Amino acid sequence: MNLVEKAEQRSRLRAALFYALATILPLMTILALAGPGESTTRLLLWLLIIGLAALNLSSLPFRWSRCGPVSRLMNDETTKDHRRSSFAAGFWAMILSAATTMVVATFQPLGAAALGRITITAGLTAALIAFATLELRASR
Amino acid sequence: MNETLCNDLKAAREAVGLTQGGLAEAIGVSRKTINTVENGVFQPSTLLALKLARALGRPVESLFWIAD
Repeated sequence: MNLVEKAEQRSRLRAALFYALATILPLMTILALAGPGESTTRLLLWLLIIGLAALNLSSLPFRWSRCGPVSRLMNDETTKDHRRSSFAAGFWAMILSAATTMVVATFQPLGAAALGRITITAGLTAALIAFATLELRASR
Repeated sequence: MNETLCNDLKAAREAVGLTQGGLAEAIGVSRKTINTVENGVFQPSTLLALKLARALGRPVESLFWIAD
């Protein structure tokens, strides 16, 4: 398997991981909001997951580490373009979810933690799905 | 203004007997970059366009042009 094939395989794996995260994050948020209360362990786990997801959506890990040739192929021009598009999708999802949550909060009071959780989850989920979809579509 | 960037990348690549993966490896990008440029989904940077032209032995303006 050459470098291009390795990079393609890893890119597909990354897209699959992003789809999995985009499923897990909203589920965790629903469980936290529907559950009896916020547990510290669950909150820390959620924070860890959103941190890792956000980090992987950005190109920061590629700047920090000494990248090998496969990593460079996984962060080429098209991937950077997909990152920009997914950030835009995440931005609009955050605006929409924050606005919707504020309207809902006028009828059903919501805490700041819940508002933050919903907004971040919506933004990250949209960005993860957008990035994974663009990457898989480009590989076809 | 609604300008479209057209390209002859697929024909030029096939003319020199390269696969998308082969061309990608030659210029150090992923295969999906070649694929999206060929399909007109992605507009390459000047640097990438020049690298493609050099790898295919063609002037860049014969590979890429703006549709009238």
